[in-house]
This record gives sequence, structure tokens and C-alpha cells, in this order.
Amino acid sequence: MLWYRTADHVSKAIAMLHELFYRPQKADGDRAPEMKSPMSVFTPVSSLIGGALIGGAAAWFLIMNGRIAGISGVLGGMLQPSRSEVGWRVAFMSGMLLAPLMFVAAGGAWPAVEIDASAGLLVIAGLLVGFGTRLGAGCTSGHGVCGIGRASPRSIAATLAFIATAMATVFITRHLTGS
Amino acid sequence: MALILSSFVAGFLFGMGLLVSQMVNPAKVLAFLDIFGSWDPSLVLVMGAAVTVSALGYQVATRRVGQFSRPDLRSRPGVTSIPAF
Repeated sequence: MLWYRTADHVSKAIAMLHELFYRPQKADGDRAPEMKSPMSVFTPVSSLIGGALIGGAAAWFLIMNGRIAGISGVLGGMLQPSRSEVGWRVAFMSGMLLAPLMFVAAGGAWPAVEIDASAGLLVIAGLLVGFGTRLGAGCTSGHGVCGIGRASPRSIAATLAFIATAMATVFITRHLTGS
Repeated sequence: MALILSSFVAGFLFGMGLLVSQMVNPAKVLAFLDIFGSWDPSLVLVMGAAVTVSALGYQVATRRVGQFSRPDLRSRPGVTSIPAF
């Protein structure tokens, strides 16, 4: 029954990873009865430092390569047939994905990642995000950080539109419907 | 090779920024969007800082473009040699 044992190991490994990544912030089970709007702590200092790092990445990328550090564009462009366009995109995404891993390897704590949705819902949401960012020619990084940074009217409009839509979606799902 | 390396550095900085600002946590982003719940304005500061630094970088980049390359773009303010996305 080797396959059974292997499957058991895999499921245990997944459970361990799940615990690492998705550990609930409050483990005491002392939750308020209505958790439609869970508490989130305002973190001004780390927000400003992190934001400056993101802006620094966008500035560095623009000055060094003359390109816009838009994540959806960088990722989507990987599907282009030309070889020369793929390498730097893979390098960019690798750097982004390696950052938290190296942070943890250097002794940092695993970042809190709280996802309150099923895998199926996440797949649908991911498809919608992918479709929308290609249709809108950019996402929070390309339109928000880079586009507003260069005062592009299109980017300002796009950013206002997706933030307003996202706020409306959260309002409907958290406050109007009882899910 | 320079392009690959500088792209990696940019991605790494971006990832560290997302990590430090806790924007890797979807709950944190949702808390910003939930203006009628317990609103967490952290994302405003993340965006504010990011846009400010990125705007400074854009100023440097456009000055370079204006001086050294693409003469056809020099006369058009706000335009660099960058394709839209």
C-alpha cells in the first residue's frame, strides 16, 4: 500500500504548509459572534516603508530598463512568442516570489496570509482578475503605482474605477448579503 | 544579462515591499476596501509612498530619455519610450 502511504505523507505536508501559511491570527477561539468585518490593525510605519520599497522597485525598473513595473503586464507578457521578452519577465517574477522566501530563510517570521475563500472561488476570482487586468491594460502596480506616478489620466481613471468597484463588492458581500 | 539582473532586483524589491507593507495578506487589502466595516487605511499609505517614490523615479527616467535617446519623444512631455504596458 505504498500509494496510500505516499498520499498520507503528501496530505500531512500540505496540512503543515497550510498551518504555516494560513494560521489564524486569533487562535484563542474567542471570536465575536459577527465576524463580517474582522479587525485589521492600522500599520502606518510598515506601510510607508513597504510602499517606498514598491515605489523604489518601480523607479529602479523604469530608470534601468525603461519599462513599467506592472505585475499583470509582466506576467501576461510571458505568453508572448518572442524569446527575448520572456527572460527578464521570469527574472522579475522570480525576484518577487523569492523575496518572502529569502526573508524567512534569513530568520524572518512567515507573513500572515489570511484567505477566507474556497479554492474554487479563488480560481474564479483569479480568472476574473486576469481578464480584467488585461482588458484594463494594468493593475494596482502598473496603473496605481507607476501610472499615477507619471500622472497618466488613463491610469488615474483605471485606479479609481477598480478601487471603487472593489469597495462596492466588499460592501455587498460583507454588509448586504449574509455570507 | 543586465536586463535580467536589473529585472530580478526590481522584482525582489517589489516583493520585499509587499511583504513589509503586509499587502501579501488579502485580509489586509480587504480591510482597506471595507470602508463601512473596521476600516484599515494602511493601503492608502502604501500607495502614497509608492506613488511618491515612483513619481520621483519617473522624473529621473524622463530626463534621461529626453537627453540621451528617442529624439522623437523629446518634444512630447509625459511620454517616454515605454509602451503602455
